[in-house]
Amino acid sequence: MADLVTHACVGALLGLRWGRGALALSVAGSALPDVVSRVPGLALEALGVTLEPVHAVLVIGHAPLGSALWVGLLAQLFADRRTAAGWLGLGVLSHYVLDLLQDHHGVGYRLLVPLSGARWELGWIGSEATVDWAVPLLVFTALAVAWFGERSDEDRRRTTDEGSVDLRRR
Amino acid sequence: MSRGPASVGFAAAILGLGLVWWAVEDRVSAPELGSPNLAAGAEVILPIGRVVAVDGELAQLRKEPEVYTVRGEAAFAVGEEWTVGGTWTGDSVELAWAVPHPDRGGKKWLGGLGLVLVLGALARGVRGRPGRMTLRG
Repeated sequence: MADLVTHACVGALLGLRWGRGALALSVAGSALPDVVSRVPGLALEALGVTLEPVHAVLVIGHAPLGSALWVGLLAQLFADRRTAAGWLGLGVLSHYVLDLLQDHHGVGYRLLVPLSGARWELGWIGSEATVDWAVPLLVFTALAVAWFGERSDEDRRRTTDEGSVDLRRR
Repeated sequence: MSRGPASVGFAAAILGLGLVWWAVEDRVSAPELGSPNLAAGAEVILPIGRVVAVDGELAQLRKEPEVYTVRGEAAFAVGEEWTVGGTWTGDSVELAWAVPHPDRGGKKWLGGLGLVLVLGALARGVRGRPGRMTLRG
């Protein structure tokens, strides 16, 4: 699986053009499959809990069906549920695209859990390949977020100064 | 869109997905070691098992909660993580191939940093109480 920094950066790049809120939810969505499955799984292993049924339930969160349920649940926290679900879903989709690029020597991802245990992966990059890109990608993403944020602030200032909505972009 | 074309489109999508699934089924891996009803002679894969003992061509790999015996030549060393594939004999794996897993230490600290980034993005971009949260512009 790709590392969480790479996932977060991809999510940020997808949402940054549409404001901080969209960026926040696409980042959250991009991390969601790992946060609801791997993170609790690692925590349980660290505590010495190796119950197979528990891990079997957690792994559902790292499959599209489980992720869709989580997106639906989390969207209920928002006033505009449809928009929230859309941005979370976009982030989740980016997570699966990135994970499926990887090569785990035939041990791919179970996309149809709990309906089927079949595994898929494209095997185009190594399973640890994103670790080397993560920090440069983070720097690039931070610069992109800062730049787009600066432009949004300029547009807002222009709107306030002129007292009317100016939809032109420089 | 009227119901007729939508139904045809939906059926076509299901059929298409089924064909894709059938077409890529061959790419699916062998069953994972530890799967139920594994017959002797079956091809198996043990993903990311940790080597806990090595004795010549015999090695023991731990994949929680089990420890599996692997027979065959490979450069196993205690403490390393490997993904192996081979034939299940009923009580051990006859090794066909083995791939060392790179050190995942880097990924763990990136995982922590990633969580911090997610929380930071949410703190910047979302406001309000659960049930009425809104997105900042």
